[in-house]
Amino acid sequence: MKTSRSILLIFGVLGLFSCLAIFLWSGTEIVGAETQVSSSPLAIDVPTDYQQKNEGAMNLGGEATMLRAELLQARHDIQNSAELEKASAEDVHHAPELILAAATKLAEVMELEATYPQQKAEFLNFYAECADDASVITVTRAQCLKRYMDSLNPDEAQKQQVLKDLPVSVVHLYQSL
Amino acid sequence: MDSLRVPLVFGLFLLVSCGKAEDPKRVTANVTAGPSKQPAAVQPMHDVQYDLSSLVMADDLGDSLRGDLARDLDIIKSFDATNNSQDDQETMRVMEIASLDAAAMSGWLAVRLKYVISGNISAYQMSTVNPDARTYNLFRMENQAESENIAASNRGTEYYLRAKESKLRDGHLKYLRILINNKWVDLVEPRVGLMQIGPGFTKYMVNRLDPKSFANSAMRIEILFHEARHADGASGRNNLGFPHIICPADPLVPSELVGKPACDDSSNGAYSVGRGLINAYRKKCDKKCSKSDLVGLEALYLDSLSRIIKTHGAVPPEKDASPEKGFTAVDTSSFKKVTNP
Repeated sequence: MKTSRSILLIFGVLGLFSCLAIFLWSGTEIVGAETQVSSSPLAIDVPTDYQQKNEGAMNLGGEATMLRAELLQARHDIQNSAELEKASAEDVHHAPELILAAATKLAEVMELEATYPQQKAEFLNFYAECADDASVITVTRAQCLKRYMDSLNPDEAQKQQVLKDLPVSVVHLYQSL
Repeated sequence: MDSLRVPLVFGLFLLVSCGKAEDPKRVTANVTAGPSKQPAAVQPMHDVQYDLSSLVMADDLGDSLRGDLARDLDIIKSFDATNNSQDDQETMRVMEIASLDAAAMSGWLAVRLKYVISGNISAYQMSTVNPDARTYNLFRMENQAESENIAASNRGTEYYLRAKESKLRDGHLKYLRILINNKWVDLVEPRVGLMQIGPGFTKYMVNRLDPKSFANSAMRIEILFHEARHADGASGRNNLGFPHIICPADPLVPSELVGKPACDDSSNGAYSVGRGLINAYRKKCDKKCSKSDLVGLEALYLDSLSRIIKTHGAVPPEKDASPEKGFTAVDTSSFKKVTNP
């Protein structure tokens, strides 16, 4: 009887440790996923000096956290190209509502940018990710690229570097602005 | 004749794609409602000098839509779209006008837009006229379950195409007419100017906070000008109604549009007209538009631009926009009313 109790106790402790290990492991993955969403996209890199300044600004606390959450939400809201792909012929004859909704969201981000100029890197990151994201409607991507370039004000060589990695359809629309 | 039939049928398909059409087979013949006496026919458009003041709005449009349209027309009548830029030349080329002043722009639209009807097509008495048999019928089309996103549809061109189809099919012309505000409108030419307004016309807005904003009018005005272009072209040149083409899989075409009938293969089609229009309005909107409005109008401009197909980066060809003459409407006062003309 005593031996059985000891065995049960040992398995119980092992089980608890296993649960804790699984919890910690999965927690790491969630944090990793969040980090991935807010990191710079492959094609467009936010310059390091902006990133460093931004890290300093981000340590300010609640305001920065709130801003980051808003930008993450906005990123999610404009990822609607799949919805447009599913739209019927009648629905896409004139500019679809999805394009207008994304434009409204982009305008809100621009307003935040004007309110929080010290968070420039966050906004550059947002525009870069949006321009580089195939799940965002092409028109919106071109609009984000325009804001990215306006905000970054790169020289011609940097500009060409950015453009060369983006789809021709996005670049073509951006260049018409 | 047969060689014309294929492009005509295809053109009708693509025009219908602009807004789902009512099935002509699903009609209710000999509806008893409607006038017992045949009202006088409206004069063919080329006999009358039109301006936007002559625009007929159907009685069932509703006060809100009527108010929006009236405000939009007032803007068109006073808006000078000149920007003193290269864009001006391009827009004048596309629309074939010598100036972008208010008179030229509103005149261009007035020739192509004369009647506005509601999305409820079953509210209108219609008739098929057979001049050879000297007969006509009366019927009402059934409403179809249409997309909430349809903004407007150039029904005049679509119904004219059906008349043309009947002539090609069996050699007998059968044309449609529609009773608007107790007057018959003969749908015998592509520029008859019959526009049907759908739910999307006012449902979607650039500025939701201010429905009466200039930006919202600009969006609707772009739709009217776009649809007006569908009244141009000729079947002999394979461009009657300037039908849209299926967006090809091309690096310059947004991937989300590929396979949809939402592109133009000419540099002066409906999307080019819309592009020029919305570009002019957004560039002269500084004092009337919020920053958010400008981002919305910019999106509309890019959307139109993205649908003008450039193969290998080359500007697509310009097509002859001059309209075909159409048929001559006849006096039906001595015609026999039948079930199936």
